[in-house]
Amino acid sequence: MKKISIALLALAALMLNSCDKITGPFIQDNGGTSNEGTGKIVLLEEYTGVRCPNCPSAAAEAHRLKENHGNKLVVMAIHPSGVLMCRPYGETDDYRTDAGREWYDFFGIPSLPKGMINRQSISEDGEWDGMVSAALAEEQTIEIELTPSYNATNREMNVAVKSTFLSALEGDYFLTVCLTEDSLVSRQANDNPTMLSIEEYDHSHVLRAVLNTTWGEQIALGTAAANAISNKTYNYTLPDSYRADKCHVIAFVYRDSDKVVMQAQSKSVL
Amino acid sequence: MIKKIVLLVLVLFPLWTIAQNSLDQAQVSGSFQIDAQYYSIDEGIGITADDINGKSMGINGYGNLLYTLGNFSAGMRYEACLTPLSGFDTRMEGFGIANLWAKYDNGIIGVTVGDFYEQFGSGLVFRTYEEWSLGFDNAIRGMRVVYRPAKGITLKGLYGSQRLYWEEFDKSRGIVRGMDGEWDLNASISSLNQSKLRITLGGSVVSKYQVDNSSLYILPNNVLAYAARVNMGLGRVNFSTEYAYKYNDPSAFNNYIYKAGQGLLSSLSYSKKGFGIVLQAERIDNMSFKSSRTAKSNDLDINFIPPLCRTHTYNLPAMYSFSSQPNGQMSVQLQVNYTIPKKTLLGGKYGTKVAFNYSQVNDIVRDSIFLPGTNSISGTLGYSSKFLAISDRIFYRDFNFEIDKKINKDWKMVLTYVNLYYDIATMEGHGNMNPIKANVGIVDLTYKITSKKSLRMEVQGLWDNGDYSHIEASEQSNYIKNGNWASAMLEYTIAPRWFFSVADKYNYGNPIKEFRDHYYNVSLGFIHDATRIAITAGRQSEGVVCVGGVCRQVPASSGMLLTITTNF
Repeated sequence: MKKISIALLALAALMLNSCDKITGPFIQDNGGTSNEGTGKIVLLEEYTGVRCPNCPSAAAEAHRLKENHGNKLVVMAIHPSGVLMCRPYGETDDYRTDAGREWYDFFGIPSLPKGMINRQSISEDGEWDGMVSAALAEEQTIEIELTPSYNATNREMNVAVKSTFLSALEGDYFLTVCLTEDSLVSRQANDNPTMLSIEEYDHSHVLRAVLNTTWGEQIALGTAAANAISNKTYNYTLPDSYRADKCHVIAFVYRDSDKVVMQAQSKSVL
Repeated sequence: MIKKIVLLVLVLFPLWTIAQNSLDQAQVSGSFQIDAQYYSIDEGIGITADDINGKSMGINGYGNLLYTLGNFSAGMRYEACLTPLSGFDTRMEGFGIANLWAKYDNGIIGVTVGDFYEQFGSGLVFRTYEEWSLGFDNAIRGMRVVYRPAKGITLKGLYGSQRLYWEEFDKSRGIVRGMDGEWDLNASISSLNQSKLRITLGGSVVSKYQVDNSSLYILPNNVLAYAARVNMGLGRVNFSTEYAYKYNDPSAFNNYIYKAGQGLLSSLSYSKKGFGIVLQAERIDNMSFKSSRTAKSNDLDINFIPPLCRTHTYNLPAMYSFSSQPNGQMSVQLQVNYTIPKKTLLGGKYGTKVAFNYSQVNDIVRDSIFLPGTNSISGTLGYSSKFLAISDRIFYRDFNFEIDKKINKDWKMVLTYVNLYYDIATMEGHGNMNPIKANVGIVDLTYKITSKKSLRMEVQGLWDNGDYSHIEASEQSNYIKNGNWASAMLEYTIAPRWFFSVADKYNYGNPIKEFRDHYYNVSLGFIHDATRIAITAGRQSEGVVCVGGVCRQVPASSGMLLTITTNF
């Protein structure tokens, strides 16, 4: 019996040692914004709303991931139209898009905030980190090059999108091109009991428009040979309220059968 | 599932063959429950075909079986939720053996294999349990050893992985390992056997292991929590306290902050015949402890935060039940029970019981290091908090007073007054809503018609003083249970078998006119030996069901509910 007592006490002592105390830094160094926009690039779609109290913490997580992974991660904050939590407080904070609503309905987003990494599954913000790293570890099969140009006089933007299939792929593939805007400052509901509303909240990565329809344009039908290239160009006139220096063009290619995004890319308009 | 049945047979069969002579001493016991609800469209309370979405029936059912033979026991629980009742987590959908275990305990050493429940101290660092009414089950699947080396000393050690509905265990989920020791000094030390001072000491260590698969954070693979407790009694006075500490445990629940967690729970009580008083206090800071970093809500809880407030059973005050806040809360509760003696002016012929209860829960003070308005920034220490500082933010306050009086041999009366403050924004996540401030009055009368027949009448009123002057149209749906309520219930019992009741709850003062609805229902119940069958038809209002500070939200519904319970 004495031996059992000693064994249990020894086990307790070992358990007391079973703790990893992290003293900092707490964040890994993944290169951040110095990452070049090459290799596997992952799309994080963040479904959010200005009246959604839990959304700021999810947005903070998306922002943190973006800072950490830099150009290896493309973030798009989607405010779907027709959802109560996305209803604007005033006239200048209407970030809703009908395309966002179509995706919201199609994927069956149950509530806000939610996210999709490469449109693989609906996830909570606490899951994004692990899912992004898993997606980044997948093989890159497509490369996207974006070349935007902007005419400040007529506010017209032109973007050339070159999609290269790095290996032969089966199935139909579509290219979707979007426009996002950063630093939109307006009111946001919050879940902090001491500040239930943030008056000057910085809304970033906000989806403003889809340049080539909600589900994009087909670039491969049935099969795509290795090294096959698709070149597309799109024109879009920025509305007066959009600030070109805060806008980004985002492009992604997805497989039609399961809507999984194979590759994404982002470039600032200016 | 077949593997599990084979395992059970393999465990039971050899023991059965060896102990054939003792089989007449074996005992089998069990219990079953089925809750089946038929949902109907009821546009009067906003239940449309879209809400029901084709799922017109929900059925939750379980069966427990327990086999005991001397020092050996084994048991299992089978569950079938097809589809789960409205308001229960949809991940409950499925069927199979949810819980399977075998145990040998000779009084000195006990070993359990399979699924089991355990609690260390008050649960601040470890508690696994099952609560059917919440759909909550965080059982450990693994092994447990209980060792009693000497009188008054109990040592426990366990390890395993926790249940998460029907999800299969995989390596991404955490592993829990724990030890607990308790020493009853009065039982151990002969010179203290008869001492008026009674002392029990205890300590726990719990560690969880989950692999760091993050590409963003540098996460601890092992998170340790420990607790120390003491329970002292001297005559009629008793004092108990437990302090818990948890090392850095960044998770989705605390927004990936690296601050350590702390918890302190203390209780001081005095009791004698006809009088009892209990004063309790608690401080919780960043004490969510789950076996998966990504788990939210009540999923995979390793520990338990005891709520310090009264659990109301009457339906109007129960609509606003407190939900524990593992990220931070400061609580205090005072409970006084007194029986006014018989044959006094206020006591009357039978005596009068009075009970007073006051509880309040505030937030802790957080000095955010970073952006104002955000709770904390992930990937940092988050915030600092002074140990005894109390925030102005009140989460919950309940002042209630109850008089329980037998008037004569036929009449009994319970009068209750409740004053509630309920921070609905925090408790139910409705960010922009003002707190509920309500007074509740309850009259509960029982009339004994004959020795077997009785009639019970319950009348309740809830007067809500909340500020509803500015409700935005887009947020109206959050106000479905606000405003004044009236409730009445009449119950007729023919002991020991039958009961009938008819009840109505009316939200006559809802600030949104369309929500001023009646929630009426009728019930019929039959009891035979250990079997109870009840049918309720009518409406159920939106609300929360809370047990021990753990809550689930219940949407409004209309239809018929059948409940069958039995045990043997």
